[in-house]
Amino acid sequence: MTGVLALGRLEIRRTLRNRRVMFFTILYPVLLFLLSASSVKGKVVPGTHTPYVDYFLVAYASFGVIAASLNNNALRIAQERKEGWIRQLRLTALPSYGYVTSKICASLVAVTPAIVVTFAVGTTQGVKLSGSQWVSAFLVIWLGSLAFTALGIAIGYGLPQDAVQPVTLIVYVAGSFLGGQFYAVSGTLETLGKALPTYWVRQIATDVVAKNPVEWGGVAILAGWVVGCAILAAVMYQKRAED
Amino acid sequence: MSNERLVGGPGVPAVSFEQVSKHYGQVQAVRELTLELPQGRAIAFLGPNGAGKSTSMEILLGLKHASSGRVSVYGKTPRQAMTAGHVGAMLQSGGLPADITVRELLNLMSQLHPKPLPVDEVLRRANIADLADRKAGKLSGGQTQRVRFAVAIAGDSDLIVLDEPTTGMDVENRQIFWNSMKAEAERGKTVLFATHYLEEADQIADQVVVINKGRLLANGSVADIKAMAGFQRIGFRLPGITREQLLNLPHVVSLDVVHDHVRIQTSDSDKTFYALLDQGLRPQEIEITALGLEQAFIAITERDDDGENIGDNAAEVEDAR
Repeated sequence: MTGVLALGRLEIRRTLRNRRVMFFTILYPVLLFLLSASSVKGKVVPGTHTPYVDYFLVAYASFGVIAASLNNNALRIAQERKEGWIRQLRLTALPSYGYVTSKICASLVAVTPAIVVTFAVGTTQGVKLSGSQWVSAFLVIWLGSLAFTALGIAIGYGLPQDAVQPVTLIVYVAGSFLGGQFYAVSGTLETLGKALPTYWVRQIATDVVAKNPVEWGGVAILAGWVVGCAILAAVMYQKRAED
Repeated sequence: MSNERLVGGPGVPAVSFEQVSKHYGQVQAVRELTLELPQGRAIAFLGPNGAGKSTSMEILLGLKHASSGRVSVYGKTPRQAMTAGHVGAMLQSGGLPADITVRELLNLMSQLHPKPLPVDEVLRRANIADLADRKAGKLSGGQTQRVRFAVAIAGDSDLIVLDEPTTGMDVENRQIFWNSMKAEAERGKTVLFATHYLEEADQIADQVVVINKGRLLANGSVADIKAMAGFQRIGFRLPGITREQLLNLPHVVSLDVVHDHVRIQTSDSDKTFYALLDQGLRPQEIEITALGLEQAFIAITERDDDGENIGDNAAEVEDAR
């Protein structure tokens, strides 16, 4: 267990000092949020009573979280396969679940500033929520990040090394687009989006913020992604054992 | 060698291969390898490229599973031995994330080990104290090898496995490295290293294992291996000499006659040479030289290659990594 913790700590340190990761998880979403928020002052999302600023707050916080969990894990794992780091770790007493466990723990830490900073900036843009709403919205996005982390691990492990980067980029951009991270989707796009974890993380957090009843079907779909990707990641870990 | 390091009593070998084979599809990388490596020795694994050295090492480290046969390390499975902290290893390449410092890396490696050593001690033993704060991605080839060695000794393992540790090192770095390796062996550890620098084996190893085409060819002390190849070489010139005239000389291991020049490998140069004179032959330009390990190794593997059936080149494949 000491070993898993030690590796987890190192993972966190590596993530937090990676400028590229910090840019895509904090700076970039915050900038997009500020731009979007200024263009929708006083407006509500069509067909709802949710202020557009609140919508974008949640959308961009989750957008940063996707980068921190999906992209960071997929790209790093592909890199570490190439570097022989995973093989080297298999030459230690680290238990077989240790590598993935440390990735998950590190991700949960790494996504935290992405949410907190965006929320803090949100308060300057007229978002007014109760304490329990802030906490619930944080928890939804924070726990929802597990789906992207598991997906990132599965992609990073499962695909040929040169395919990891393009596939990650496609999943990141298309997932965020259909998930409503850039603007509120409707019609066919929304129907497609409703199959994705990007959509449901944002939607459930938006419902919390807007005091709408939470759609439990969405929670189930999100949970399905977490479990499905975790199984996929575990299978891939086994499959790559002799790489 | 201090006996207190012996794990599970002196009778338990550090590594034991029993009838171990490994094939990749049609390619037979290791063939029915049976081998016992005792504790507390420095053992060199010799063999040409593609001989099955890396594959054998990967099997004993638990990175690959044998297709058949059994490998045990201190009487345990390779994975159990690893988990118990018996083994520290350095692979042929890779294993260092570019964005962490040497100290961070060793810190982690020592924390992952059941019997950790203080990082400063590891830095000292591997002779890399000056590199502690460097990023792993910013090291030269030779420095990288020394850091990777430090990774292998970051815990107090009983067996240290090194796959071609000095590849890419300049002469000076290699000498420093050999000193660190010897120091580990002198601590009573079992050091198993694959190499194709014969000088390395000659300087450090108490025991040499020669592998060719996935099979065990020889296993003994450096002197044994030299003896096996024929200890000495006799060379001379004798106009009109034929191969047939020399065939009944005693102790001859191999015989080479090209025009008037003769080269004989022999396990006893005195007796061979006297017999030559007794036949009434009077050779000129006589040279009698002792074989180094390098020539011995080449002699053994060449003999093996000649003895193989033609077309049997299944093992002529780079060690699959």
